[in-house]
Parts: sequence; C-alpha cells; structure tokens
Amino acid sequence: MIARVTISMSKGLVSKDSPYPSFNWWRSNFNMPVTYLFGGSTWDANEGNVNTISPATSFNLSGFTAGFEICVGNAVWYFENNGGSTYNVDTLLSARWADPSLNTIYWSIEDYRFQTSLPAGYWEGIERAGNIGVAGWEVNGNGTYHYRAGAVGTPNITSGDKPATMSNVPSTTQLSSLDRGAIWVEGDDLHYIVANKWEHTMVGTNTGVNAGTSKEGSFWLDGSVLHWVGEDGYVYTPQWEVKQFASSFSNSSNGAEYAGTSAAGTIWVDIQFGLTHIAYIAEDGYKYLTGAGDDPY
Amino acid sequence: MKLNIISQTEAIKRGLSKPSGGGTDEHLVGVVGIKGKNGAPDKIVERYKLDTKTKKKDILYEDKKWKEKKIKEKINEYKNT
Repeated sequence: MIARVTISMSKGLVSKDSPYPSFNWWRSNFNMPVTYLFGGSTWDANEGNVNTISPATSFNLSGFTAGFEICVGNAVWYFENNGGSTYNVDTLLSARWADPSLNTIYWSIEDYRFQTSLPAGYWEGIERAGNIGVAGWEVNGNGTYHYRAGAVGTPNITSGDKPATMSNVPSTTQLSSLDRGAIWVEGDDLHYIVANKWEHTMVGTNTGVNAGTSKEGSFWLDGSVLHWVGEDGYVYTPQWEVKQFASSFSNSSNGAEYAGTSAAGTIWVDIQFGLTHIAYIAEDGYKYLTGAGDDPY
Repeated sequence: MKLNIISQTEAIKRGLSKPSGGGTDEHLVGVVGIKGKNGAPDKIVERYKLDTKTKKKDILYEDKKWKEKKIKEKINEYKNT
C-alpha cells in the first residue's frame, strides 16, 4: 500500500476544469460564499482537482485589517493498492490549522472514519481545504502558522505540515458592540463597523462623475450597485458586489435571497457568512453582498 | 434609489439575514482510479462528494465496469460471512 498526504498553501484555488471556477481568499472578506471548486473531472494525485493560485509559505499582511482572509491549505490523501489482493482501508482522516505553538486553531476535519475497499491496482484520493484569516481567534500575531493533515488507522499516514509565516499582522482588537452596523463616508471612502466589531474601509472606484462637494456623503443605489459621493465631490462605486449564493463551503441553505422589489434599497451590515460585509436589496429584489476586502471571485 | 439603513437585528427579523457562518468546508471530495498499464495514463472510475456531517455519499460519476466490480465484491463479501 502506498499512502501519503500532500498539502499545498496558497492565496486561492481554481478548478482544473472548464469553466474554471476560482476563489481568492487573499485579502477577501471573512467567509464569503465559496464557488464550487471541486466538481471537475480532472484529478492529480498531489493536487486533487484544483490548481493553486499564488502558492506561498510566507505572507506579508501590510495593509490588512482584522476580518480579512489570508490563505488556504489544501490536503490531498492518496491510497494506492500496489499489492496483489484487495486492501481494506479503515483510517481516521484529520486536518487542522495550528498556531505557532502547534495548538489547534480549528479542525478542518477531525478523525473522520474513512473506509474503502481497493482492489489490486486501484487507488483512491481524497481532498479537503481550509482557510485562515486575521482575527483574535485565528491569526493574531506574527509567526509561523501551520496546516497539518494525516491519518491514523489502516494505513497510518504521518502528519504532513505546510507552514505559513505571517508578518505585519494587524491589530485584532474589537470595538464596542454598540458601534456595530454604522456606515458613513469619510474622505472619499465608505466606512462601516462590521458585525465582528472592526472598522472596515471600502476604497471605491472613482466614476469620473463630479456631483459637487455640496453632495458629499450622499449614498444611493442604482440597479445593483451602491454609489456614494466623496469629500472631493466625485461619485464612487464599490470595487465588487455579488448576488448571494449558496456557499460550497457550507451545507446551510444560504442561497440566493429574494426579498422582493418592495424591499429594494434596504441596507445593513450583515451577520451572515463571515460577519464582515455589507448587504443590501438591489432593485431586482435580490440580496447582494459587498465589502472592504478584495473581490474573491 | 434612496437607501434605508436598518440594524442587523431588523434584517434578521425581516428574514433578510440568518446569523450563520459559511466558512468551513463540510465535504470531502474523492476519486477512485485504476493504474494505467505499460505507461498508459490512469483511468478514473468514480468521482464522489462526501458530506462529513451526514456521511452521505453523492456519486458524481461511476464507470459501468467499476460499478459491476463493486457489486461482485459485495456479493463475495456477503458469501464469506
């Protein structure tokens, strides 16, 4: 029996198959809905059915804010029966994120009993990804963090380790819960206090339209796009927005939310998914998400 | 269109938001293959998704011969018990 686990560390993942859905965790808002990355038919024994986007083992978080994702670890277990008779695999799979002292931050999967019967000449591969971001309960200081994976049973796979060295980690101190939900224009940017009580700043795209400084702070919706007027009098829009969809990283029924056109224009700091984004009902009646992080899609 | 800012509590009350996370993957993705002989590439005979909470296996693709082979193995296993 050949048994091993291969771990990658990267800023994002992309399917090996058309239409190549991808997700960039790097500098995105916490736990945004993840597109279905793992549905392709192409498989690599070490990479599974995804390719890495910007693989790295060190991450400079200069310019980051608490509530931004950093990277994703991806573990691929491989069992190959190179013997002459059927091999019955019965082993406990585990993968976890660990802090610089190797204490568990969270289990991506813990002691999952994996059983399979492999005839001679057959192999089986299994894949599991887990992301990490800046928060008091995740990455909260400089140092080398780890994504580790292994198996205990028949067969054993010694725990593999992929390091992720973080530098310039921002403060993770939270504000008062009384501040949650505030949204305002400051300078030319849109500021808000996320549900996890950190101040986030959305640097908008200047549309080139000058509404005049008398309109500073105005804030409205056009179709499915937010608009605001900065201190310089110009109209700004967010760098991205997405209609809510069911995340492939969750079994919860957080699919498209149709609130009806009568609810259009309703806006709030959302407590769903990663608790760091703004949500609103667009003119089509659907719920949209936007935020201070980069576009993950 | 004019915007109307509401609180998180109000968003939940109106059914616009659910206080739930969406971060951790709750699936395992797996593939079964057969080693290629004499330099031929490996052949994938099954692709599946496992729900790690319910343990439900969702088979996305299954080769016909592999399916028959699995059934025969099960029958042999049953006969030997």
